[in-house]
Amino acid sequence: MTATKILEDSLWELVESIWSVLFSQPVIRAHKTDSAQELSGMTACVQISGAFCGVVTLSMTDEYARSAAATMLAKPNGSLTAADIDDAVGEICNILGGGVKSLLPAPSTLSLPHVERKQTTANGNAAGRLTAHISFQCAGEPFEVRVIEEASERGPNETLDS
Amino acid sequence: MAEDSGTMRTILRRALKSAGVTDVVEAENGAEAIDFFEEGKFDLVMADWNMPQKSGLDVARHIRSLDAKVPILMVTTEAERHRVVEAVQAGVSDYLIKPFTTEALQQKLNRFAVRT
Repeated sequence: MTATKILEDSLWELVESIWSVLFSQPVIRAHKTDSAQELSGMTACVQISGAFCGVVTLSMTDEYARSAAATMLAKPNGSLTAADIDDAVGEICNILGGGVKSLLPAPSTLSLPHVERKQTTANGNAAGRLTAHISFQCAGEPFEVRVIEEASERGPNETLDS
Repeated sequence: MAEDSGTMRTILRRALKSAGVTDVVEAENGAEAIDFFEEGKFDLVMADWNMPQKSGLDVARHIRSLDAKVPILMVTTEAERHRVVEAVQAGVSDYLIKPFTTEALQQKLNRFAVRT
């Protein structure tokens, strides 16, 4: 079993656990989309720096972002501002990033989340190696999580799988 | 409560309210939390770790330099053992990993006997 497979399995458990607490809703693992494409809508990312250098990205449709924010804030969907939605998606990504960091080599630090409301590159604008990529569905809406290891001082053949 | 995410402040406020705690002062970053602490009297400090300006760790260290007794609860995504040790060394009294349930927060509050 490769490190990528282990990370994806752990990531799956992590997402399942986070969504259960935050939304009381089950998530299902969906058919993985082409890694060169990304869901149009919103992408949040947090940077991990240290023993592992890379980013964790969370992409979702605008509809699901609004729905998730409404649940977290206990507000009607229609009353949410763009700032409410950005903050909620950023916080989900922050929680996710903290969990992912605990699965990766330590010590590392976590950045504050950054949210973009546009379709970005497959790597959330980060150059690097796609280490893990899982597509999910919750309440019929798709979302995706990616872990991207940045090009670093590791040797060319030295990755998480090494 | 020191937390930069408005969403998480809302979640915490809701969880505190359900635990009977309604007298809450909210800071949006660590520097603001320190200012509030120096101006008031508090039964409990809850701080996120990763915040702009001053981190939760900075907040804990500063508060401990002023007050050796007030409980400080770190509410964070930083789950690794070495980070918990770092927080405890900075003066943090207890630790709550995000995402948390209302019941988990209630248990922490019970430990510090924080009630309205």
